[in-house]
Amino acid sequence: MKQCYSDEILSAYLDHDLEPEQIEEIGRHIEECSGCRSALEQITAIRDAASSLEQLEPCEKTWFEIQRRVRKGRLKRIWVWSGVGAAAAVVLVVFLVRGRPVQVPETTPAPGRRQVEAGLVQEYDDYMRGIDKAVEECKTALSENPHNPRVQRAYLEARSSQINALDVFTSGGD
Amino acid sequence: MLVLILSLFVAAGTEVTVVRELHSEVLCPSGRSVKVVHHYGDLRISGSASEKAKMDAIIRVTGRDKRSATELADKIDIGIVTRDETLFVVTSYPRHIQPCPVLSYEVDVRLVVPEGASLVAHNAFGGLMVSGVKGGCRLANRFGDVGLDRCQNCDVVSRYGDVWVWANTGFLLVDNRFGNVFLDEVTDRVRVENRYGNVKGTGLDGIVHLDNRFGDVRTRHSRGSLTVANHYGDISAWVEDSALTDLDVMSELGRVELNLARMVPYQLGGRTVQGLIRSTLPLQVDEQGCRVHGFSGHGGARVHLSGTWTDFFIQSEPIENADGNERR
Repeated sequence: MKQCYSDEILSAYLDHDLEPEQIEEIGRHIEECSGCRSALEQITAIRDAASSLEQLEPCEKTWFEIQRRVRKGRLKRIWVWSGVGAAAAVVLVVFLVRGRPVQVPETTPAPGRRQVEAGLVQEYDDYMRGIDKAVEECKTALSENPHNPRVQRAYLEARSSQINALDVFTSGGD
Repeated sequence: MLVLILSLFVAAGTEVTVVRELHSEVLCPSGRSVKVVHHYGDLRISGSASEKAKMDAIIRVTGRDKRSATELADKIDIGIVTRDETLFVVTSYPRHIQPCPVLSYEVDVRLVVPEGASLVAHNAFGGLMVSGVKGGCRLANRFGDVGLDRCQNCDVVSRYGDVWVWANTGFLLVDNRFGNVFLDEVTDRVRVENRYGNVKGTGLDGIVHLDNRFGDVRTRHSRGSLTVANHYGDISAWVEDSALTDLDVMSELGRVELNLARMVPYQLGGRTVQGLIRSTLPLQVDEQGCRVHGFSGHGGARVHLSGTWTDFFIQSEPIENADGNERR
């Protein structure tokens, strides 16, 4: 029997993140190897547990605030994950076109404005999904390497970004 | 406060860190592929003229007692296996790690590979630095920075970290999110897609495309053809080298500062929707401040500006001094 595979490779196998021939080879190995089968079950269990962890969803008030601010014509430039080892930095900047609120009647929005707003909301969703994913990955890592300073730092940054994004949104960037 | 300090002291006193080193050297003829999978620690890979691959690793395990820390350190392994024409280097951790009494573990790996090798490297929760690898690099990293120094033909995917590239040649593809991208003296074909961070390029040359969202883009000393597209952030660009042939700037919801150096010829045209164009130069800006065109000298860079919900400011001297090449 061939040498057993590492967790990393088994994890990639679960994600189908390998070459097709590697997936086939590992599949054959797993059928024969109880150790790798067990490891695969553990990885799956950890993933299931991670995916069932509590998700931070924006509350109704948050969405109300988003809609209210957008209707007021205040477009937002959203947050930046500041890497470079800094603490989590999620910066929400209220973007005022030309430095002032746009004078467009709400009933007759300028062409393209709706698209911009819809795009921003979509971007907000994408951003939050990215941060949620980071939090999940860090939780999984913490479960196996709980005091690793890199993992702890990444988790704190992700969690802070998550909270800050919601916090700044509810405050409207003020 | 005293109690807190004391408890921290006591907690620190109960920790034991065990360090173990691993060294290995194998033949790796030129043209062979090298695949590295690592996590929890830094991974540094450099190319050399030798036809050997050399690995040095430092394992650090911290636990509540020496026995359990040593036990885990002994079980952590870096497998080096050649299959077909590929050298695999894989860090593996024992499967049944108890959260207690072992507190943390990490492995820093230094790998030297033939410079002509084709490299694939994955890392997580650590930095990934590659230098002098000319056979092509495909790098993926999460929760750590990526650094590329004097490499050739590289494809980088990064999440939750910065990407630094120095003197890359051939093609360079960077897909980054939740971090910044820094490019210095990168030439040939470059495409950067970045989100939630800034992009800074100095001395870019070739066909370069920078696409960013939710961050600022700043370029200096560019040559060749440069396209900058930015959404929800500012752009700062310079036309200061006569070797710059084309500059396309596209912006949505941002501010663009374009600096045109004296004595450097250019032909400029552009428009913005829901924005204003202002200039301190003798350019023709229409009454609404939405269109601009003009030129200086003969030939020179073709500059095209396009904006939506964007203000442009065009000037001959930058507001602030150039900050030169920035390196970490």
